[in-house]
Amino acid sequence: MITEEHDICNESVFQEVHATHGDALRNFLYYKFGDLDKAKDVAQDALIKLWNNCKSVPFDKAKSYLFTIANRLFLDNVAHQKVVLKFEKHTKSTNQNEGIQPDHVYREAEFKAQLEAAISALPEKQRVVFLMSRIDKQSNQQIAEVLDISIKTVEKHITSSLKSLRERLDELKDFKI
Amino acid sequence: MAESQKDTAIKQWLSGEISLDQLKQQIPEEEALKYAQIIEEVDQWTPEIEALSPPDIQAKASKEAKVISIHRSTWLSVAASLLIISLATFWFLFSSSETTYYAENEVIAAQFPDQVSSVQLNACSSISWDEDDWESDFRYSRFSGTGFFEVEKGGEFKVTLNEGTVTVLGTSFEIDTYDDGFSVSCYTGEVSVAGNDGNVRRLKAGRRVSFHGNKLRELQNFKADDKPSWLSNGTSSFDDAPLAQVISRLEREFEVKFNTTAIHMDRRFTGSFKHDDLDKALKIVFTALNITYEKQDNLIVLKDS
Repeated sequence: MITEEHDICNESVFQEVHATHGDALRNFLYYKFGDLDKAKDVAQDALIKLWNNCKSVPFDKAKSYLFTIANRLFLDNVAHQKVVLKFEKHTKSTNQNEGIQPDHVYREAEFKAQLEAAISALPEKQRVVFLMSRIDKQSNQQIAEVLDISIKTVEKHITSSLKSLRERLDELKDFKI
Repeated sequence: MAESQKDTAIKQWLSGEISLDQLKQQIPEEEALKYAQIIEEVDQWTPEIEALSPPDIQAKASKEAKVISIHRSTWLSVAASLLIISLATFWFLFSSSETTYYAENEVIAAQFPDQVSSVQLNACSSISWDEDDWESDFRYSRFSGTGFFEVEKGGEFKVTLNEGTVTVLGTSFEIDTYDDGFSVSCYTGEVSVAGNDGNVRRLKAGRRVSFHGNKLRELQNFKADDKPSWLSNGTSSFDDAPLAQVISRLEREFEVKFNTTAIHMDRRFTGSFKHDDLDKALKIVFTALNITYEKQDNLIVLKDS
């Protein structure tokens, strides 16, 4: 029997699902496809589908249902475009007024832009896993479940991403005169 | 240093198992500082500071209504004849694009939107899916109870249960769910079963897997006749099945309820009973297990003897 607090057809439960997974869903689509407006639209469409199907989806499957449906909706009508990701910062660096950070190897100016470009250039699977881990703070286990891959693969993607990013940034650094 | 040793060190640093200083001992210091700078930067990012706004949804109709919205105009004339003939045996619900079949006290057959795959539902079992989402390579449904599936080869066919998922590529199989677990028996073709504990097993014809308490319990061989016995000759048979699974079948088959607080549930049953005689069935199941049963009002109370 479905308990009331686990019944997605109950509007307040549904809103809770939206609050818990909505941003991560939008982000996942953005990381994968690089179109923020479309990511927002598709995320909302997926939530509406979940609402319409609330009887068929168990509460603990809601997240993987959302990600699967959203992924399909996106693929249904998009040609492959070059992914160009940009990000806002949550917190202002407290060291902003202190000049150069002694621990930082890469120069501050352009670092963010170069890192954004390097991330956009990562292979799709690595990029999505890396960002879900660092930005959405998902555990390796959670990522593995949602993307239907093994935890080992998740770990590999994250480590590979980090190494690729460093190589990419080094290239850019070395080309500066 | 071997590549995999470096990878392990990076992984441990990312997960917080080792500190940055410890990482610096295992890889070149400048490299470690670069990783730290990258991670420090990305950790502060977000695609958009604003949260995703809630979607525009319509309030659900009251749960009492059997029909929530009319999907096709033929529904009304079909409903009229259905009401007369079959109120006693099954009901059929349309809600926007969602379709649900529920068998009350007889076996009923339901056909999937691909027009060729079907499921036969035993008493008190249900299947549902979303017509709009259904595609030849995305056949997705939710199921509870006992059912015999016949799935035409095609794209992905997934059945979600409370305690796991069954993925199929053209085959016939039985799913039997109960409160604490489920079993899947493959009759023809091949089936993949995933429990919620992360265990996944591929079954070929004649193999059965059971999950209990969200854990993989065992793999068995069974004699795969054409169809399960509840379909071919009104009998339920069990081979070393958890007592909970047998009790659940009795409840659904005879529409009774059991009080199990005074018995040890941790037992297995091998045997079979016909669906036409409750007293005989009770005798077969419980005498062998040294359990007494007594009908009290609408409940059958079980006690260890």
